[in-house]
Amino acid sequence: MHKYLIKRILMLIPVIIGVSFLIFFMIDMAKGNVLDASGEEYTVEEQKKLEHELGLDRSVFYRYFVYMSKLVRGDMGYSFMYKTDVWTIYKQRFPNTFALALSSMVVSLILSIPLGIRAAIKRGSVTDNVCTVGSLLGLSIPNFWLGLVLIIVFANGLKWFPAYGAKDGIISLVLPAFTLGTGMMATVSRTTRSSMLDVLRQDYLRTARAKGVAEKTVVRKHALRNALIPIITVVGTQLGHSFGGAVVTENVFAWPGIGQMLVSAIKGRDTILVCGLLIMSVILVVVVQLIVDIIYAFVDPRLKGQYAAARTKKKAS
Amino acid sequence: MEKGLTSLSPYDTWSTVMNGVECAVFDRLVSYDPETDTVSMLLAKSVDWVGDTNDRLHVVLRDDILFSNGEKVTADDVIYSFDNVVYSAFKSYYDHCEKISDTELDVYLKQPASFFLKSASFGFASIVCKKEAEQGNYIGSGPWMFDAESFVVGSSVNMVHNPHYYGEKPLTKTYTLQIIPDASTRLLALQTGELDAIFNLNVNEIPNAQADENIKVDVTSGLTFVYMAWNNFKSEEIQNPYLRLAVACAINKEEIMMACGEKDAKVMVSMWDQSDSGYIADHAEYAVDLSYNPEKAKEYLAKSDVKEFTALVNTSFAFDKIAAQVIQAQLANVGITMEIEETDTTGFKAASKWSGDPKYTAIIHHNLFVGLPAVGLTYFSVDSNVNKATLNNARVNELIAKYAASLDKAEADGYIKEIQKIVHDDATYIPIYWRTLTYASSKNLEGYTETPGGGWEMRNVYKPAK
Repeated sequence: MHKYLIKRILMLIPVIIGVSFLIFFMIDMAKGNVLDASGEEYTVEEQKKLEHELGLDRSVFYRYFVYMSKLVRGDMGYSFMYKTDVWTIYKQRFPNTFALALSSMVVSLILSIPLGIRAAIKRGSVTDNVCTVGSLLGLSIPNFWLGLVLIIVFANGLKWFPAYGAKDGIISLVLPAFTLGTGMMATVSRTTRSSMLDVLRQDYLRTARAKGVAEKTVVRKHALRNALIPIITVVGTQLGHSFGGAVVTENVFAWPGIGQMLVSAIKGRDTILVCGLLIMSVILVVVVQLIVDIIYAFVDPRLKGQYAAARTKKKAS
Repeated sequence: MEKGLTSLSPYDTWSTVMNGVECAVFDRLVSYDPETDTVSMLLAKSVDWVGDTNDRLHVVLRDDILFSNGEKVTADDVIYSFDNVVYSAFKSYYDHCEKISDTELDVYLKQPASFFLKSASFGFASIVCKKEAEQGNYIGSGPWMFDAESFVVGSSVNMVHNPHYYGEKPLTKTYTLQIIPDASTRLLALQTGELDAIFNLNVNEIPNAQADENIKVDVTSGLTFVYMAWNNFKSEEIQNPYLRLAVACAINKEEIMMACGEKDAKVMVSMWDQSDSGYIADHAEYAVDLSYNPEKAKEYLAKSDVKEFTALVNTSFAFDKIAAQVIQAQLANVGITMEIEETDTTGFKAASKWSGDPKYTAIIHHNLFVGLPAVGLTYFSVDSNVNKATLNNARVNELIAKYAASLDKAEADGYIKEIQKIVHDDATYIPIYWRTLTYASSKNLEGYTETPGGGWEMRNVYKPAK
């Protein structure tokens, strides 16, 4: 298991190199640089001088090399747009994105797993149809529209929640978390339903029922546990993506997270900031996937068994 | 606000909205009243021109003004501040300062500029504490100060009273600047009472806001304008002026305004600041009539070899995009084919700056006058990236220098009118319309005034007790 974890961590290196390389080249291909985006009207001489100071008159390979040589020393660079170092910006914004991602996942799981299970058990029933239609709606409804509707109803109308920002603590999280969670809910409930359907058909469950095990126990103890693997995969993927910043939701709610910052940085051609934010997202996605892999081992005894067998074989040799 | 707060420095990207904030936190040497066209002392006790050449000022500072850290405002702070101003309307004229004493200095300009003090009255010329600024902290001597601990980059900052302010304390205890990118969310937050004021309401939302009895909406003709400009560097395509004249006569400006949803906007007659006395507001003053006339457009086009061209458009702004599409249709009606090359804001700037060897034939864009001649002149100045017509006209250059040097307003107005006529009759710039400026606020918000250029003076804003 340890070897596996170390291998996965080491795989981060080529991924980071690949992502950063792509970002540098793609932003370089877009017209304009961070000085053009700054809003200041520099004279020709000033522009040339600043471009030289920032290295913008050098080739993209040279700039990439300089960036990577700093990154390996832990220096994520300086944002020209925000006049501060990238790590400071990230530290300030990430907790908000983390809170939003986690809370939207909690909202989504609380509703979607029971719904998905119910839909699978009562296949073809009204519950199943409601779950299917609900999932379709959740997947189809654009986040920005849902967010605005929630603000109109719950903030403007009922005045239960604030309309924007993170200034009011947990209560500020409710509407954005629900907005972001709705799309996740749809995916997780559909995955839960289809995974449960696969498992409920299995012979061993028929055996359990034949032996007199209560239906609730059959579903919870036997079926759900085996259906969890794909659900965990989907949840892990969604969570990993959310840590990269939910751009639309953050914009609608003026949520001071990574997503909002990323959009500004891309529009502003702030390559260093874009790289820094995306590299951190990549790291988080990998960490989440690692955690998911560890959870697999606990959920699926066969995997635990495989690791145990591998350890025994190693000891014997 | 829609965007901004990239840092707390007044020398970062300046905007008309931030101007009001900067004027609340930082003082400038002088203040300017556009209604009376007068400059008053603020941090300076006196400012006098030295000699007759209008390129040197002698400044005597007040010695009783403190920054929010309790330190006195000195000549070193003014010198540091002026040396760090980035805004081109200031930098194009400012050369350097020489300290005479802690409260006296001379300001040297690169060229005569009678309007320099007006430039020095804006937020981008704010005076900061040198000692703090060198550490990356920007503090001023105004009634407010930023609560640096509350600052979330690109998102929000709280403002609190300056304990060392020399004047009357503001009535409000604190206020918060908040960036909300989505226009609908901004309005909804105002309607819920979480915000007290918003800038730049969407035109589509004006009726909604006006219908709310708890909100007051202010729609005025602003200083932002939509225009078209031809690239004089590409003279092989537009050397024959008939294409430009045909395009000018084919454009129906009112139709464009309506299409952009700006029914309260005004047609722009001349390429100059409409709040300035030198602005030509009547087509009759021009030798060549280029008002909307499709038949005349066809006559001009018949004399032109070129009947098609491409216009570069910044489609990050809906009104620029809509204007371009309407112009495309209007030109097609008279037989001109205009292709639209779309790009975002950054791409537009890169493609249209002088140092980028601009290759566009024409652009359709927006910009603004801020009530400052120094800004207005950049539209005609050689080597200015705002000069999208890439003008390098000897007579215009001569008139710019004369305008800048003149202390006589009537004489200066004459010079700027001549520039407008040259530019108009050649159809190098085709001004289209003045955009409306919209603010919305709680009905009970008081104490704010408009700053030149379209911001709000926030020093004394308050909500009376119910």
